[in-house]
Amino acid sequence: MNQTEWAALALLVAVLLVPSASIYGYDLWLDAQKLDEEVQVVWITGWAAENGGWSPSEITLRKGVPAKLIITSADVTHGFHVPDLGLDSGPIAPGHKAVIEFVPEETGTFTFRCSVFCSEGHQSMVGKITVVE
Amino acid sequence: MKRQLLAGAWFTLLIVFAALFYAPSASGGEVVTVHITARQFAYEPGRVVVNQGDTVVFVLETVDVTHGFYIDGYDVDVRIIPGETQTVTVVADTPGKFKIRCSETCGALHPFMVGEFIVLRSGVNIAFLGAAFGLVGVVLAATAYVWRRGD
Amino acid sequence: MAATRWHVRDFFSSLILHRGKFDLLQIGIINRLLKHRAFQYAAMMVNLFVFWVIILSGFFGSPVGNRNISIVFVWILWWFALIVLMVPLLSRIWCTMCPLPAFGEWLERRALVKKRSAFKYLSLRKPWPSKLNNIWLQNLGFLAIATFSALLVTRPVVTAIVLLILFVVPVFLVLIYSRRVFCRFICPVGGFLGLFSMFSALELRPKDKTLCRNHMTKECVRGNDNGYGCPWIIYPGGLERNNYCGLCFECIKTCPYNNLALNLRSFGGDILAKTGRALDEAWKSFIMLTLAGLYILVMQGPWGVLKDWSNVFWAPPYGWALTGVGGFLPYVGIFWGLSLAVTPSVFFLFTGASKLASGVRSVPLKKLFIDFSYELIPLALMAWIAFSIPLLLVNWSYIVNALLDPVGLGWNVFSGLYVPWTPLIPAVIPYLQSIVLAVGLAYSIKYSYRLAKQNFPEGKAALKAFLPQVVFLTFVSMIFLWLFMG
Repeated sequence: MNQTEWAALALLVAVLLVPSASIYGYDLWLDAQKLDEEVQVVWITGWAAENGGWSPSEITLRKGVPAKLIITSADVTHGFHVPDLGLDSGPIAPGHKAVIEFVPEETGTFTFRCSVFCSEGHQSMVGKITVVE
Repeated sequence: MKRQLLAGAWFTLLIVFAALFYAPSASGGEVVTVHITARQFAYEPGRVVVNQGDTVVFVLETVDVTHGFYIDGYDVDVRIIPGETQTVTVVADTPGKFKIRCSETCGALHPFMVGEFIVLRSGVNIAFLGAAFGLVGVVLAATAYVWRRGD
Repeated sequence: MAATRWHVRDFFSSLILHRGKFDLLQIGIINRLLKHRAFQYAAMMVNLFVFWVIILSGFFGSPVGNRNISIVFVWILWWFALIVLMVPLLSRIWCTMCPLPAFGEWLERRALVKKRSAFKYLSLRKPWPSKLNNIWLQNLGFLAIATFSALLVTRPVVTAIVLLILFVVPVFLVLIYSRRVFCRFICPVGGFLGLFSMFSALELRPKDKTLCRNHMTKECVRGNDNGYGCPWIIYPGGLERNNYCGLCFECIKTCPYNNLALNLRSFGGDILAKTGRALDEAWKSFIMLTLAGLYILVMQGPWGVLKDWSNVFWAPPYGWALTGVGGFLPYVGIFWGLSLAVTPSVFFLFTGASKLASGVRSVPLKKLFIDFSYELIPLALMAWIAFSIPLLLVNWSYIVNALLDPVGLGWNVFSGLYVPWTPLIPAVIPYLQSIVLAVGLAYSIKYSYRLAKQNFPEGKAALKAFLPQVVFLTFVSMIFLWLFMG
């Protein structure tokens, strides 16, 4: 195999690896984020109720530790609203994300809902945040 | 001689059409209310036909998810939210065919969610007629061209 | 061989003024580039990278079509570039850089770039079945894909799966049959690329056919140290049409006499070529013309029920149900029935009228039917171009956003930058479409007469035979015009 062939093979390997590694690496980075002790990071994807609703729909947070919620919409425009904690992301169009950073002060269970009319099942698009010690 | 007559006749009619397009319209000026229901993935009714000069009041609703309502060539772009009725008023001052497009990602076939807003002039779709006329001109010209070349 | 001087005026002269042909290989840099063994590999690798990103994004990215690079790059960017720019101007140049057959080709050659001197194909080298030595598989394959296009062009995962299949199939075909049988007989894109390339302004042809006839070793077909024998299973020395030449440029590397030219020429150059005319190509014309109309009607029209039908299991107002099939079945019937039966039947009637009008009894009706079908090529191509104009003008912003955020999940390479959906001059689109249609109609009329003249060379018979064709072409064009403007 001469030099050109080796170079061509290296290019082929790079072309196939770079995108795969990027996606895999991003996944790993996401998981690493969740293990962060200093900040609780939670990724939430909003789907219309007919498509499964919030994913995840149950979130557990620790009291007193800064939390960062990163919310995106998958199918149509949604909004993330936790009335009892005073959190509202505003409308989130599909593919976009909203980031809410706050420190949970009290323990308890707090319901979150979709704040942008999204589908017939909009009212049932709910989830639960449980804050523990 | 016959060919020149034909060409002359075509050109005269072309001028007439152009004049019709730009001259003030005969009818129009009414207020038309159109109820449109947006759904995945169409507007019902899909075609709205009015006269030039009419004031069109669109009363918009959606039966499923959030949709958009955008009209080519007219400065209209609103969001239709489930449970709310949206009203948009447009003066149909330019004749022709204008697509209504959904401007809010509403699901898989969103890019194909299209309606039509057709503004007639004196009861006639002047844009289509003009274009058809132009097309006939092209046919005549091309046919005459190959006839002359003859090879 | 000394490079001959060429002038810029010759370049424009051949393309725009229909005078003569201009051999691009006279231009030193183009000549060296196309003869370099690494050129095609590099071009394929660029597209392999993009396709791979598209496949990964289809599986792991956003399910929302307009947010995902899979849908946006394939069905907006690539489709537009292909049908509006590449095909009319540069023939099958996409095939030059298409990555789909790459793995198969590398495997059988056991090389990526170079030409092995002691060479054997890694393949069973079975002959391709003679019954399939035509484009019927591609005719039906394209119809099948078109039938499901509402799913294909809106769901990233469907695009990803289809692309993956199209990457894998050539490998198996190569191991059994060798060379580019996938490209020649299976690839659904290749089917219409071949037909529309007859209209293109570019061609690869031998310069001096007598030289080829007297040259016995035929390196263009058998290969030599400089390159492989033609993988498209054609004989470059006998090329008279663009249809099945995939511009891989092996022959310009192997020909010991430099006897091949890459010519710029006037549009529609191959329509009058008498070789290769057959029913499969005639039907391809009918299919492409009909589908252009159906796509414009269903995808760009306001008729919601048609869109529901196209969405297979869709049962409005919101949801999937098996009852959706109740609409899909008539939809399939319309697509296949119109393309394969109705359009050809109507065309057959007009062919009959042409024969009657000509007053000549000796020309077989079947020959007239096939020959005249080639006049549809410019009109069909322009109808597809007209369909594609709004794809870019309305949805161009999706392309930019796909570059910033390929998977559509909020990566944003340039954080936060997002281009809002802004159609460009949308009110003008119907007029642009009509103009493009008119150009197609004009060329179709021109070639219709020339095709008539080929069959009726004596006296006024050609003129009389050609008039029913003008009626047919005008009638079809009016249908398209109504779809754009009416």
